[in-house]
Amino acid sequence: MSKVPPKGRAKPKAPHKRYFDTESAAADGDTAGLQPVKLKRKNQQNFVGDFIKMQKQSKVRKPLRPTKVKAEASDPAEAQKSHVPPELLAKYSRGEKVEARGVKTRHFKEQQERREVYLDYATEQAARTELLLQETAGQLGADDGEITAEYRQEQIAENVDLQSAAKHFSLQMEFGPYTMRYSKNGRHLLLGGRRGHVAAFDWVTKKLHCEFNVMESVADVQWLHVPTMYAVAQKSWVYFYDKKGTELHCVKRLTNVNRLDFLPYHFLLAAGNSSGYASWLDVSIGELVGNFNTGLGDIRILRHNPSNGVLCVGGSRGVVSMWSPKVREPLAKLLCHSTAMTAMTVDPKGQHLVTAGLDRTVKVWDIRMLNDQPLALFRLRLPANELDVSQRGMLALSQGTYLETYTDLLSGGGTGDRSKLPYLRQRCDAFVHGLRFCPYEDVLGVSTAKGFHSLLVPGCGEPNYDALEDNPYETSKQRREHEVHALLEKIPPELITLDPNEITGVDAPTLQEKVDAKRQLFHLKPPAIRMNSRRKMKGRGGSAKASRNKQIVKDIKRKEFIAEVREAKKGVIRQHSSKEAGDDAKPRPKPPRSVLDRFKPKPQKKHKT
Amino acid sequence: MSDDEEHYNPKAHKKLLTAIGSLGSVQHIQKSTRDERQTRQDEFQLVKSVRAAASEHKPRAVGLNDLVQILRTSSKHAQTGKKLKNIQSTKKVLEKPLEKPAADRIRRTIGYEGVTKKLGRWDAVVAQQRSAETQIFPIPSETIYVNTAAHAKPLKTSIQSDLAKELEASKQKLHELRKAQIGDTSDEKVLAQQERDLLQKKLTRDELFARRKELAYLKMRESQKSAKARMQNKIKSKKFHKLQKRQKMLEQMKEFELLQKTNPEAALEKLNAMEKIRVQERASLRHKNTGTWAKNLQVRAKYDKDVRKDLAEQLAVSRQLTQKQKESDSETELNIKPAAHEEEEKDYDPFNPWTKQKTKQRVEIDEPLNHDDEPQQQVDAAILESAPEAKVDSAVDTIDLANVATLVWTQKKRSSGALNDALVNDDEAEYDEEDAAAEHQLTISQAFEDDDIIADFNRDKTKDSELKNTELQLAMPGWGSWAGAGISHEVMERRNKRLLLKLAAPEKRRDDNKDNLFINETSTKQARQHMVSSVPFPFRSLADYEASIRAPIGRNFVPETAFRMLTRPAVITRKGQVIEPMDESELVKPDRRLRHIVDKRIKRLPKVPPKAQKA
Repeated sequence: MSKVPPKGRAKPKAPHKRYFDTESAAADGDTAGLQPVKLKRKNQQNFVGDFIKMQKQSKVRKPLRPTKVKAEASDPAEAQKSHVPPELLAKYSRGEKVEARGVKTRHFKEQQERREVYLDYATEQAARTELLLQETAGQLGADDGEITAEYRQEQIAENVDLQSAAKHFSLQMEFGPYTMRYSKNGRHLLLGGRRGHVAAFDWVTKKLHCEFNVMESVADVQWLHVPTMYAVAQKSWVYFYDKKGTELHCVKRLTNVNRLDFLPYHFLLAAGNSSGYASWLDVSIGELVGNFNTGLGDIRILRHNPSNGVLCVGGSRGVVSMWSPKVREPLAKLLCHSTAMTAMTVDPKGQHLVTAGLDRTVKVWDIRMLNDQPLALFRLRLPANELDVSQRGMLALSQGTYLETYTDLLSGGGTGDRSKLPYLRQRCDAFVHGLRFCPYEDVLGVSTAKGFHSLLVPGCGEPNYDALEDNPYETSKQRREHEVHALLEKIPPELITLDPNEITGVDAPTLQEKVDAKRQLFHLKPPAIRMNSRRKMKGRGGSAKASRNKQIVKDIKRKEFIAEVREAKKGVIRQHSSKEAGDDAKPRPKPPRSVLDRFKPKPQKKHKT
Repeated sequence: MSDDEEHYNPKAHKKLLTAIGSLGSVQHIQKSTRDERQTRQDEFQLVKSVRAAASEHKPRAVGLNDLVQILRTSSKHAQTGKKLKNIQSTKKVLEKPLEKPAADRIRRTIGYEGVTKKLGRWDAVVAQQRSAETQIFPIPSETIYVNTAAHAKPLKTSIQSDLAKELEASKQKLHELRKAQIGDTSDEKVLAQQERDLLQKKLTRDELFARRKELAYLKMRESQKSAKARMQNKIKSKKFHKLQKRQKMLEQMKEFELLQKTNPEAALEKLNAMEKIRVQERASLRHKNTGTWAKNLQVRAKYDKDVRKDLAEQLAVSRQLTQKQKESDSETELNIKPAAHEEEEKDYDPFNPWTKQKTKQRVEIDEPLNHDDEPQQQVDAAILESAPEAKVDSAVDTIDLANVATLVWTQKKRSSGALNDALVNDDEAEYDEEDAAAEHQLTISQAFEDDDIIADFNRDKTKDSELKNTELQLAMPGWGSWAGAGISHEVMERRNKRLLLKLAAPEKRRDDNKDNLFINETSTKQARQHMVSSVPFPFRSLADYEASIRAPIGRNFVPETAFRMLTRPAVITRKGQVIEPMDESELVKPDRRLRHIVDKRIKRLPKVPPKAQKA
């Protein structure tokens, strides 16, 4: 039934026309008849623009200071307009405000408050952009009596759209076990066969950039900051090639490299070699910023932590050690397994470390808090030999030729029920040598001994990409611009620390430094005093007198110094000699005196000896 | 002599006295000079010098009283004298003028006050300008607000009411009727009309502005539209144009339907127009396969699938156009459906390797893994197939140290069929500890277990983590041992212990009570160089300082709008415009209306009260 609006009131906004509206109108056409449509004037019909209003300078003089009432009146309207749900604001919040108490002068207080208004606005705007994140990550949902683990790739490919189905493919190649990398935006794929085969292609359009055989063994491949260049760790050295396969560089300082990794924000190519050397090559200036022996032996497992750029090296002793290019000892070591490790990965957000060992467990660790107990533990039939975590926190692991994915890193399981069943599983034709989720795609790339498989894993990739960060559809112009920006924002290698926010802190001396300073007090020597006595007229002061004066001055200075040091030493001794002294140094606050205290037994006076 | 005393004559005595008194003084007679007032004028101009006694009777200066006395004498001037007397008694005497420096000082003070007052009027303006987040120069004089709200009322440009318009129109009609009937050309009325028109043209300034803006806007829209049309025309894709054309047709149909309900006459016209198009099409050969293009295509059609499809589509169009229209809706749907189907089909290309992959199933994957009722031999075979390869690869590639362990593992794997079973029905068996399979698992893991790993790790950890050189021995060698050898060891020990200084209590570390973790707490020296050495000035604590730099302002971290605001310049100047100094009119102008929400919020911020004066 269509209601006729009362005449006095304004017409309610017409809803969008629906397919059933015409029928209903036709149905009661007999009774109500056709509604006449009011046609607008011809020049108004197409006018959808803005209406412009001019405000002339008002003759009435306003008070220079706006009245408070007016400000309050404008308040609710504005609040209504800028309404953003608080949970969204909390999501995008950058942390606690600076309290006005913590800022010193009135001027700076006001300045800081104004600053906070700007930051609030930035948070609000960021929260508003949530509206643009239209894509949602779906997942396979199983019907009753089915589980997602029994779905095969073919079934999935049949049921998805053509474009997605085209992302499922496999390549048969004969140059031995393959390693693989996706570029940072997930658009390009790099394959390296042990027997020298290197191929780079745009895997979405299946357009081959280059393919060649280096006629040497290939240990690992790695894209650099742009998908036009990549590094290949060959038999003895690391080579750089461009998209067309032209050799750009041969870095002979990186020898016998087993594993490569790239830190995109630092422009560092990290390499671990077979004699235990970890090396960082700054690809923007072509300089080795760090190259030292880790003492871990052959480095076979190497990943960087995307959140802080620390290089995690999995050792044969079950220990994951974390390295920074400018520190020659590990920043942290974590004993993950009591057996040798077989695989390791860090999730793209840099929150979790996932390790697998020969003890047939896969453990998930909190890499930020660095607890010594794992957050989650997967027990497997066979040790996992490859691991990877997707952007949405899915875990993929391979055991020989067999591979499984789990929807959640911490709770495991598939979507159908949250039991321990894997989400999807797959048996490959050959031993799995590389396993990477493709960024921003629901695709898992698997490189095996006999080729490459691209598997569909619905819901694994991040559906909303930030085109300023990684743009899968970037043009060459955008790529160039991005490269320049990235270079300008390059982070210096010495800032690679466990806590990336350390730089914001204040440099306070460590305990060891304090101890050393105190120790030094006891071994201090008075500084040499150089004194040039004033030149006097002839007969006024002979050399004997001058040297005597000099000696006097020196003695005074030395005595002063010694007195000072003695005082300082006394202070140190007082501070550390005994518990009582320690107590004296830091007097306890006295309890408030009460009237009844006078009845307490008096403390005995110490006898002077 | 007594007689003399009796003969005292006072007159004579006095005379005598005066004579004696004047003994010393000599009468000087000088020629008078005309330098002073004289009471008596002498023809010889000889004047006695004024004596001391006479000086007391010195004639006073002529006062107003004397004048009045004189005036009083004549009755003619008596009134004037009175007046003068009055004036003198009432009037105050002018003070002596101030010294020049003092006068100047006063003048300066007054001037300063005046200027302060004058400049004080600018205080508000200056304060406002100083506290403003941004200043725009030259100062914008007029503001134009664009109301972009959808529900905003359209601008009313005409002043006449609808009724007035109608009246006028009827009048016009009447006039024209008269004109037609009697042929009178009333010039005066035409003239009046013209005049009125001219008057009407004189819009007010605002209206003129508004009109101009509106026109500009319309023009912009027009140009946008035409640009879009041009762009679309340039598109070479035939498919696109085809689709566009189809869409237009559909739109026309919809419009027609709408018209049918609302405006039957217009609908009829529209129908006629459509019919006309159909007829024209029928008469022409446009969409037949007789054109040059179609003929050329026909040659290739035998070999090319796409070409065949194009031709078919062409014919379909002509068929559709030439057919008499009956049920337009169902027809279009029918046309669309097969096309979609065709698209699906044509995706298959025998020469495309990627589609081949999709269609042909190559690898037989883990189908049996999920079905327990499947024969197990198949699975075993599959696993055994992969097993040797697995062994080789794992031994060579992924495991470096534990070669021995790997061998053990592979042996076990081969020998025990239980493992394979476990892999098959892992759903049930996976977490069952009591199982035989689980037992096997345990033994295997025990075989791999290497206690040394943990012990080694802990040893390394303690070695690395302990503080170095924390103790200081204050006892000197030889000190207190003057008695020579033979002093009990214990005493020495006790003394040494007493004199041992522990410089630091055992450190509280992040990895305390965490057995499997070691954190190196000596961070990089290079990183420390980048840090501040103490909390910077306006902040009181480290937390405040850190909070002040918590939020990034770069383009990559905040939305563009926020970035613009965060990096807004303090002063904005327009290029090529002269910035005039402010004049008095600035004082009376209302506050600039703040448009941005940030500005509004900042304005609403409470002012920090000035610090209370210390009493």
